Amino acid sequence: MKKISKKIIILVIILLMFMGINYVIMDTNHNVVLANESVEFENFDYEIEKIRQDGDLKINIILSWDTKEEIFINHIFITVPNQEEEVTNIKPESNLKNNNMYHYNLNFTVQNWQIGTMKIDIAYSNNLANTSEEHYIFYIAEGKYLEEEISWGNAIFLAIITTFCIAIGTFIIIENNKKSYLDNIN
Amino acid sequence: MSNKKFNILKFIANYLIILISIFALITIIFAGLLEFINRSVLSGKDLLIFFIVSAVASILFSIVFKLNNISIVLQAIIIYFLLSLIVVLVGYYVLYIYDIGHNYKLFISTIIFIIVGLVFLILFLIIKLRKVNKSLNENLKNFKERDH
Repeated sequence: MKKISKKIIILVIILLMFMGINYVIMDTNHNVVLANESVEFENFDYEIEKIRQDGDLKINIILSWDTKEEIFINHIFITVPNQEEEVTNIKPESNLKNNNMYHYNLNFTVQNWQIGTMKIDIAYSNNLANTSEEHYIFYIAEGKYLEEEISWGNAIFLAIITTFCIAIGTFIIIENNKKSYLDNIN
Repeated sequence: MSNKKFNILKFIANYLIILISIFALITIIFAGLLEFINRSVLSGKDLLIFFIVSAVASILFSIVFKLNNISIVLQAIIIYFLLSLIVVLVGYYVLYIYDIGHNYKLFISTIIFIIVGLVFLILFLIIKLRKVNKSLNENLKNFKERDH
């Protein structure tokens, strides 16, 4: 029991060490939204999650907002460093809320994006007959620590910690099994 | 309490200890890795997946421990191998940390160090087992000499 407690303490120290390292590298420029002034879009919100499609990493973006009048989305352009992408098959889910506002939900998938600023340009018109297009542009800036690719030094350090944790886990499980086996014999 | 009931309770307690150990291990590893690499934290969904994986793995481990005809060295190797497999698979499919395309350095380093760790574990267990055997043999020899 004493041996197991020692190993658990070591694991907790490792966790605290990770947290300490993270505190030192803390970046304040994380998840900043610079939305332009718009009278059309209210309660604008976004959610980003990393997904895997056919083995490739992609980003799933969920946008939601309210408008006083009904609008029609014409195009959505996504610009990430060095690449531009047009979102096709746009089918926003809209429903009239109690306070006479139209609520929109938009869910789409774009290429994997780790660093730099992502620009989202939503081109829309007020009604189908009106051909003039309005644009709603906003930016999402991510901190450089969101980059998945890490240096060899950090990779080796993390691999050693992971192996160490697995070894401790193995010993905890084996010790526990040995103890219960001896209890059964006695 | 009947002996059968007591044994079942003991088995459940043992199973729960294994489950909690695996769950804590996976959570500590990935909480650390995610904070270091992505600067994000584990979500409730991730923890739920960890729990399900730990529950399934605990059943596998319980089966391994029920096999009496395998040595403690082989048991340790199987546990280490399965734990490593769980960590790599969860990191690959759930958290996308280990990725050959986007983060090959971490993936390669982890695989290499897991293999190195396995070699060290085998050597450590063999040396420990030899030491125990030697001490047992010496004790036996002393007893035999004393009897004669």
